Amino acid sequence: MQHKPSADQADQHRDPHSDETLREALLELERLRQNEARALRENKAVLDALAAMTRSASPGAAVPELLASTCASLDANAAVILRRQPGAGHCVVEHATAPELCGKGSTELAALMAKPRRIADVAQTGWFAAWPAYGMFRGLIVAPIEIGGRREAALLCLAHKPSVFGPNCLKLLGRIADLTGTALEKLELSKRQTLLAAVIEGSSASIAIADAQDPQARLIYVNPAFEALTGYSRDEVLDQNCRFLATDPADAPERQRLRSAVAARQRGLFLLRNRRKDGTPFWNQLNLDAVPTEGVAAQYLVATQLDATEGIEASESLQRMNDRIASIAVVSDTWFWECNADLRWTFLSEASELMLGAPRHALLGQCLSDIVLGLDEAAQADRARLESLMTARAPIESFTFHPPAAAQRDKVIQLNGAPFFTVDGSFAGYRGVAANVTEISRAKEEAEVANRAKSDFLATISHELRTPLTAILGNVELLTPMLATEAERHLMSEIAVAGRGLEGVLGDVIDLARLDNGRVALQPASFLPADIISRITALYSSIINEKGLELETEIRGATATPRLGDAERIVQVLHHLVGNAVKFTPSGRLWLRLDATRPDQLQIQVGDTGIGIAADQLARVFDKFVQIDARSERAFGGAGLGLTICRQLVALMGGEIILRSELRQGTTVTVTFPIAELAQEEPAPLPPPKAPMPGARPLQGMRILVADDTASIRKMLSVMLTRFGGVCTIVPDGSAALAAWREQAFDFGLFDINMPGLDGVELVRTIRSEEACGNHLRLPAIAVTANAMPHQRDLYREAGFDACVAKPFTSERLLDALWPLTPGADGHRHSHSA
Amino acid sequence: MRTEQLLCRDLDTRTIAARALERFSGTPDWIWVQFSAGYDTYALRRALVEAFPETALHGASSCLGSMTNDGASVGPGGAVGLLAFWDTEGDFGTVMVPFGEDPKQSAREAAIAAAEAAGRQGEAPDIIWVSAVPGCEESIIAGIEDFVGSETPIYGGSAADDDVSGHWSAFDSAGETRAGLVVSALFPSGTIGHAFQSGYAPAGPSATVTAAAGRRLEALDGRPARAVFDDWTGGQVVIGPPDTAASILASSTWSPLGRPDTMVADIPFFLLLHPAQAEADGAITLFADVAPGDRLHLMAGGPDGLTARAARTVTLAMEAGGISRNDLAGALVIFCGGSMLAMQSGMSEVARQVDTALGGSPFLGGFTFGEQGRTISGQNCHGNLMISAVVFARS
Repeated sequence: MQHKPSADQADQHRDPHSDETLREALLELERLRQNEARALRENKAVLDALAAMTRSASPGAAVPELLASTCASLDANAAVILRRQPGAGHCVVEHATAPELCGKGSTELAALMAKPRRIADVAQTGWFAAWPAYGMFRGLIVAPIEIGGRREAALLCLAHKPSVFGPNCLKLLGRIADLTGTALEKLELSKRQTLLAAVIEGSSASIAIADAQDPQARLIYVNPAFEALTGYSRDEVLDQNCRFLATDPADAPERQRLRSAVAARQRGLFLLRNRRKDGTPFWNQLNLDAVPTEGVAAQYLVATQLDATEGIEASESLQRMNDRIASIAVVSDTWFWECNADLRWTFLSEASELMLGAPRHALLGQCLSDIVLGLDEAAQADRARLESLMTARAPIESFTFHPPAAAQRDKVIQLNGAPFFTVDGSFAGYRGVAANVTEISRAKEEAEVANRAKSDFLATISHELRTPLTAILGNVELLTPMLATEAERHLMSEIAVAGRGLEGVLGDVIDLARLDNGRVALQPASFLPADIISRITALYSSIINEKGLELETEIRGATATPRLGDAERIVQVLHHLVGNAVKFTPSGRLWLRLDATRPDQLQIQVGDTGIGIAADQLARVFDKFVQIDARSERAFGGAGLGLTICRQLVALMGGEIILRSELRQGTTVTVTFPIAELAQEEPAPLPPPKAPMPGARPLQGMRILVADDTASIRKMLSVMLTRFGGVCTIVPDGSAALAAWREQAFDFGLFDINMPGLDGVELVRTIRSEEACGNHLRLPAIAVTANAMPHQRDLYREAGFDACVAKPFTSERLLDALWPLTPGADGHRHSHSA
Repeated sequence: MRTEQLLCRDLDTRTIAARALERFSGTPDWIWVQFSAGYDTYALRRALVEAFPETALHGASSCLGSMTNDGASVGPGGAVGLLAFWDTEGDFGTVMVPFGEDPKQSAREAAIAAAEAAGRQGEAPDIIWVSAVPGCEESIIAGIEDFVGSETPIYGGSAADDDVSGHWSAFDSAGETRAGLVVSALFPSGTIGHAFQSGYAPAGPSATVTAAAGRRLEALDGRPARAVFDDWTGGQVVIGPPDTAASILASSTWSPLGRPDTMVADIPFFLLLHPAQAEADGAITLFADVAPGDRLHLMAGGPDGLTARAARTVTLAMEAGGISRNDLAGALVIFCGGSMLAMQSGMSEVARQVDTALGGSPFLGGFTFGEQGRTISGQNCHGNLMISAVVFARS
């Protein structure tokens, strides 16, 4: 309607006044026309946008279509949708007409999103300076988009030229932004629906949905987990009520409760016994909920179901276990306990009340160590030990204590417990048992008393038997050279053999008693394995030759490499084994084999072609006092303790002993010791057998002071030493010995230990003390005693003795002890311990 | 948004500032000032800046005075009119720049700076309000449109004095100018409406410009423009010997020239050109540009038409913005100074009718030597003897 006037048109004359009215009307009409045209354009643009949304195949495709339509309507070069990012004041370009325009926005653009804005020239602002994809744009308009009632987004149109968007463009953009908000809401809803569908379909929980408006509450949807749980396919169950799963009768309480909830369209949690399609039963934990929609309080009934069978069965099993333990706890004298990570009682079974003398409820929550132990010094030490164990989270094994209650103080309770932890490894407390071990404790004490009595008895017997035995064997030794006839010497040798036998039996009994009491301590030292073999063969060579037996020895491996072990005990074991082999082999051969091929063990085999052992007797050979063949034992002597001692000694050394035998064929015993090689140290070799003293009177002219309270021993020693050339001063006790020593100088002192009054130990201490004052030369002192245990020898050495000779002894053994103490080539006296 | 007006007659600048401070409670966001040329621009600016240091000030000289709801003050004593705006959700920025060597470029830069001063860097305002000293308004419009685009309404009026002697000026908070312009970028929170009108109709005669240079109309249909105009007006406008220059500003008020701007239903609508001086060389100096080829018509109007025209223009502006009287916050009104000089005693009635049309909402009217606004053709134009109104809604 509007156009540039031509000259002719403008020349037309009109009445000014009427023209004014006409012009007014025309202007008004023109304004209306312009408004209408603008409205039409806007409406067309909006319709185009709406059409773009509507024709799109999906909500996801609608937004790009809408943006393209917007660009066309506004003559823009690009359109984008900004989305506000929570918290950071940033925005992100979520949708754009060109993909390179998508991505992170800026704080400046985020600030623009709140109101409609028309930027004439964005180059003035510098906002796109660091944003190459947007650098080409100059003109920009933005209109906020409301999503869910909040201005979460904005619609932007961009133009390459500045100042191209007028106010009407901004107004139109605002209308399109409203549509865009709807499109975005639909898109988000679509995404949520897709997500929800995927979650439900993929859920491991079985989900079934019924139409709550349907009186029958028939199923309209089940997810794959429902199919997996029940075995029924979707097609089989849709349009059915869930009662096909039920196994319980209709009037079962839980079914009734479920029916009521469904009828009332209420939520609830139910545990139902259901059956799968294949007939297998299962426990169905069903969670029912009523889901409303707009205007309808309960549109759908949604049931999530879990197979609770495992849990139920585990719970029942646990309950049975608890019942079992509770029943046992009720009838048992042993009581069960548990404490938490703070070491405070959380559980005590009934039996605890009787033992602790307090009701359980009074004890729960109290500290274990406070309750259990009393206040005296011993209790405090026990408490510290118990607390130390618990702090270290160590097991409590056989911890005994006296209950603090006065009425229970005479009782003894034994506590056992083990720490337990949570699944993440955190300490959670202790659990255990406790028992009244008062009787056992008493019995143990009595046994210990008896044991001590036995040991004392053995020590006393040992001393009382060894002393006269010393006299017997010593005098036999002295008498034998004096006898005139061979027959007389033979009879004397019979006495000597019997005496040696008695000495052997006594030694075995005492060894066994010490092993039983655990009073044998190993003394490991470096040794050469070959030396052991040499020593044993030397010890038995003469008797083997006398019997006409053949002895084979075999040594394999690095026998020159030292080992670390108690060589004396090994010799003791082999002594018994070789002794038995010799004893029980009337004729034939023996062998002694050492295998040192392994660096971590020694194996020694002793075998014979002797009388062997019957198969039914093999199991008893290691028992005490067992004599397989009483006639042989009587023939060769012995108390039947040798193998018992071997087994205990081998066990003490951590080894193994295996005996194989066949009646009338022979016996083989294999002993294995876990004794390892030593790396570099040169071992101290076993002391070789002593060479005999030079000359028949090796003590010629030496003055010897002898003190012993047994007359027969004094007599024997006097004869023995005199025969060796010594000049003896014999006294009956320690006081007399001290007086004699003070009066004159002696070359040796031979003192018994157990003497009345001043005993041997105090005698030597006194002598050494006076020697230290410088008034006397040092007297070499030898203890001659039946009490010659290693700890006793240490005591004697510490007191000042130079050597110890155990009773009974031979003259040779006595000289072995004396000789090193005689003045040697250097003229000095030196000490030597046997 | 809210506004408040103040009209001060015969008062010194300090008193005016004090009265304004009293009337305008709180800190206004923007104040438009129209003052008669007899005032010391510097003193007035300083006094107002002291009273309103945080407010954007937009001031320009107005012919003989100004008008508000309190009437029109156009007497010899001088008057200062003020209209203050408070708008917490809106933004206002004002910048004064001298013309320099390139008024168009200066105007562009002023528009950019005004948007930045409003805190809206780079953004096209809802409306530009401009006060330039007369001479190059067309270039100024072109320069502003370079930034804000042709779709943004550009309204305002050229600074005026009392006798066309060049004692016009304009100022912002920072300074004043006698050869420059003041541009305000307005981003009100509420809706705006605007209208740009003239109260004249073609009287019959027309001719084609055959020679012209800027604002000098030299020849029409090959004849000297003075002579043609004199013929058209029957010798009633151009008084004096033809070889002597004569001011015809007042006498040509009811017989201006018009250039067709647009046709509506084959009826032309004109942009008016006010002859200011008949030159001795036979040219006529106008208050707007002409170019050879323009078809010029003799236009006719009268006081009665103009009296009602201002109120009508305000009403049209309200209709254009869809703003009801109840929702009005205030209005800016521009009335041609030349028209005002011809109707001087009747301006009170004009003010009253405008006040009635606005329902009592505050307004300020300035009397300018050139008017800028948006015609029915949808273009920003500079014209003479025009009336414009920009109305603001509260929300």
